[in-house]
Amino acid sequence: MFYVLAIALCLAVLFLVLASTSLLCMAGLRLVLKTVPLSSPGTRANLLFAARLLPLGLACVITFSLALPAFLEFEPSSTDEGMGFRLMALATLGALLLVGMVARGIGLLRATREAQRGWRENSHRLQMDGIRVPVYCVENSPSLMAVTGIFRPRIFVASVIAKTLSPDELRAALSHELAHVSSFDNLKQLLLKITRAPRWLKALYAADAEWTNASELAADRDALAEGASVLDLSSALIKVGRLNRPAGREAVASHLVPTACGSALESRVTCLSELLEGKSVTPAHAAKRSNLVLPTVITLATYGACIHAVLPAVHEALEFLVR
Amino acid sequence: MWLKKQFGEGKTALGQLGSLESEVMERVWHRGEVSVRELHAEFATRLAYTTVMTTLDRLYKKGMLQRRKVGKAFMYVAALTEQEYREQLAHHLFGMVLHDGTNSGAVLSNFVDAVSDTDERLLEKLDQLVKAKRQTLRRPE
Repeated sequence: MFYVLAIALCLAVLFLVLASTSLLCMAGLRLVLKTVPLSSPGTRANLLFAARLLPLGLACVITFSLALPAFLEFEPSSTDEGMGFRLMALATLGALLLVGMVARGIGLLRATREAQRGWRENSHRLQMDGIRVPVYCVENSPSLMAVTGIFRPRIFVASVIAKTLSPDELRAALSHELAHVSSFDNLKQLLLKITRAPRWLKALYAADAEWTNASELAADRDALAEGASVLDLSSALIKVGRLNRPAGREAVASHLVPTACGSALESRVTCLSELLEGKSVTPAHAAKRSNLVLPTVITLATYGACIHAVLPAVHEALEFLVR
Repeated sequence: MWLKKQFGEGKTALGQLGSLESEVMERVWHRGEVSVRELHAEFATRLAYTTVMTTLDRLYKKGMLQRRKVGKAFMYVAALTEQEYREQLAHHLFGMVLHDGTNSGAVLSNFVDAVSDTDERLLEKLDQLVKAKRQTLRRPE
């Protein structure tokens, strides 16, 4: 019973914290969405990602670093305490939430692997000097140019795109994809999709679209900072964009494509146009890696110093759930 | 509903046709302009007149048919050719795969997704800028 109670308690706390912080984050995200357009696309993308993942992060931290230790510390292992309706209901909701997220994650990973496998069957590897991620040229996939994979990324380029783009344009487009790799954008995308909010939670839902927009813009800027030419990147964007609109299809269907689509074309074209017109300057190369060692050490030290003082209060709060 | 949310009311409701609606659409494509009476004559053995009328009205409201009043009756004609409909449907499914995470499944970062009319115009402007810039660079000082 002790372990069942511990699991139920963890699930209940996870659900409670996730639900309440998600609602709180909605207000915060509205503010972020209003204020962050002033910052750089990379910072905006990171802020949005952090804000979106904050509820899950907080839920995990509170559950596993406070609730669980408090329960293990103060609850006698021979407890015969039963599970009340409140705890059972919250634990069930927590379990459903967790199972849903795990199932979604497995589905996403499986679909990604299947897509990769399908493309690899019809592809051959391109030898590209200086590109550290394997690049595959895919036959029979007219408008494909994407980086897939979470931990072992691969770039897939449709043969028609590889033939249409000049070597410099192809390199510029690949730099954009490499920027996604450097920023772990696919991992972030996976986490955002796993924790995707329902449409009626508008601020959370809008944050995902805004993140996509910002991350695409950031990838363009990183590619330019890494030495890609504005002209080559612009040409690549134009050519690949046009390949995405086969002639027979555009007349009847183009109005159906949502304007704010995933690759944030409008913002990207605006940004590149400003660079070409000299209204803004090409971003300079900046070291991206931030040192997280010191903050982590400080956090862990604070946790270690305060935990025993905090646990009794946490246990008191948990009693409310258990009873 | 998904489509209405995505593309707004009044646009053709792709993928929302039931089997009877599809059958009616095929007959309208085959015959050209048609009245309820004429169409009912083809379905007479298995469909009531009102069912045919309601189905045509529903297809009109979905934007799949256009109609004009001739005397007391309506004459219906397809708003899209069959070919156009298939192309739109294919494009719609393509869009669904690209834009809706629940449908696409795979985690990937595309260089460019589907391109809308607005995007096309922006790309055109960007193309002009690129050409002008290249010309400037080629021109001797």
